[in-house]
Amino acid sequence: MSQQISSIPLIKKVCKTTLQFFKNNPALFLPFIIFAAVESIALILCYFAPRTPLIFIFGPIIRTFWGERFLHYPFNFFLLPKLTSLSRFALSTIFGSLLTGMAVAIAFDIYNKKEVNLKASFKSAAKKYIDLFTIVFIFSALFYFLVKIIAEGLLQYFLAGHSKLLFLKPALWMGPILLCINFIIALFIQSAFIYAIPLLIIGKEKLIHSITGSFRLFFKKLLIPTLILVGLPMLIYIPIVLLNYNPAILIDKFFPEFILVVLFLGIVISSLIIDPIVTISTASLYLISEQK
Amino acid sequence: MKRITALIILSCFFAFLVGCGSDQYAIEKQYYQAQKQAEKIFKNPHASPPKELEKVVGILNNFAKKYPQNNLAVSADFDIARLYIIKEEYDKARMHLKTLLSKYSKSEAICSEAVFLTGNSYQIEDKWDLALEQFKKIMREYPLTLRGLNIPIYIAQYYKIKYQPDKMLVAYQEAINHYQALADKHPDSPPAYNAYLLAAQCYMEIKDWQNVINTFNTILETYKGKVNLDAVLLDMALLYNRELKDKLKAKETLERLIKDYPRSRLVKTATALLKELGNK
Repeated sequence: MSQQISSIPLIKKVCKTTLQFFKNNPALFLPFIIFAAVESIALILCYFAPRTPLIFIFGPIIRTFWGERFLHYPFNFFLLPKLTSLSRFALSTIFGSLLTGMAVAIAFDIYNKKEVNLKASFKSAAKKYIDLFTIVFIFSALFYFLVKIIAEGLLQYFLAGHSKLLFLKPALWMGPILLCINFIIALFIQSAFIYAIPLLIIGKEKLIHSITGSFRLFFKKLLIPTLILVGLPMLIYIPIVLLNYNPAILIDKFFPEFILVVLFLGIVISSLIIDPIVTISTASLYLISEQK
Repeated sequence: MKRITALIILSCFFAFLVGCGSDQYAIEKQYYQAQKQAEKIFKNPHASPPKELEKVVGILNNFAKKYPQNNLAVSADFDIARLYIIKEEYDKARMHLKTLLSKYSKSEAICSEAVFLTGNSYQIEDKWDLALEQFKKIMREYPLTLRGLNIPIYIAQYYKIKYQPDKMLVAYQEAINHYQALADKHPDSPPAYNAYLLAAQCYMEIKDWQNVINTFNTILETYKGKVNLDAVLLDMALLYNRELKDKLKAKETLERLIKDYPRSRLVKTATALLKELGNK
């Protein structure tokens, strides 16, 4: 309880600092804009996957893993959220790791009142690319597999003939409860790994130390403020999750391309709103807590 | 920054180029849009004005004319007939279906569907004799199509629904004769295999269990080693157990299933059944 009370002024200070960072240095948005652009290109490619000439490349892959029907209109829109989520996983690991490192380096320069040098920030992140890549890969894979294991576990449980789990019906478990579980998993995994990149780029720590250090910071020192700074912006994404939950309804009530609009909105919200806020606010929190 | 902007513009241009193509996907999209228009009428046929019907029929007609080689053109053509039927414009529907018979004369499957829909239109109008005429035409002219194989049972089921047991029994007997004749005419062929299975289904409907077993035995003798017969053996065992109360034969059949098809997904069920029979 005492930690929560003392967290409020700290969070206020972090929010103020983060706002000032963005207000005075719009260049801080650049890594996130680049990532959003790359993600948008990936989305466009996934959207055009069933069409000539892209079908020659994507056709065999989609046919093998998901089936022929997903290469036809409008069934390709049912697969689009899955393809986008997989491409986000790959892009976050390959590009996102580097760009987040770059953003943290820029934030560090701003915090130390140094002139923002995009090239230098990029170089300092590029030097640690393998470590950044590994951190984001571990974090993303852990999230992906945990979510998959829980969903599969629930599915197998109900397929085995059980009609209820903890007095609740399958529809509730596979719907809203699973969404909440996924949200909590995402929140805790992201929060636990969130200081690994600042520790790597700002603290100049080695890979393993930056990960263990991040766990230590989160669980022992900054649990509540981190959960608030990571969790609150993530709430903005809930409407997109809900809209993506049942593509069939969207296709039927509106039009198939509506899925594309929702996914594009998802990119805008996650890459241009949530990621900048979470990355820079937690980097600020790290810097402020280190100063103390 | 300039490079990134150039890359984005290039990607958009590329996407635009891809989007302009008239490939199978573009055709499917056009058909989906036409279908959505038709759906409005299907959902509420009495509330939609006649102009709307003409508009949608026009769209579907244009689609079928624009892509005559595409499979979706056939679907569009049938959508038109179904639209006329749902709007109770039966003569127009039949006229359209008649044109389909000449348009797709090379495809027996399509023709059988056109005749079936014609029969359906009479059935909806409560003109069963005329409908039956069309269904018999399918039996005569397109017996090996999917519709042709199923139509004798469809006729018998009509009498069942209408509570006409005498006519139903006659129809099932006719169906059995039809399937026997088909199997004799095309021995050892896939249609003959289907005909035997359908004949067994007919015997089941009239509760002639011994003839079901005889038909299954014919299938087992004729198609052993050619087709997976695990499902036939399981059905046979269930029949021995439940209807003929012959536990010994049921056990023998299940043991044969396990021996002949050890990798079958039905082995688990067969083993459980054997265990159950052993306990009794």
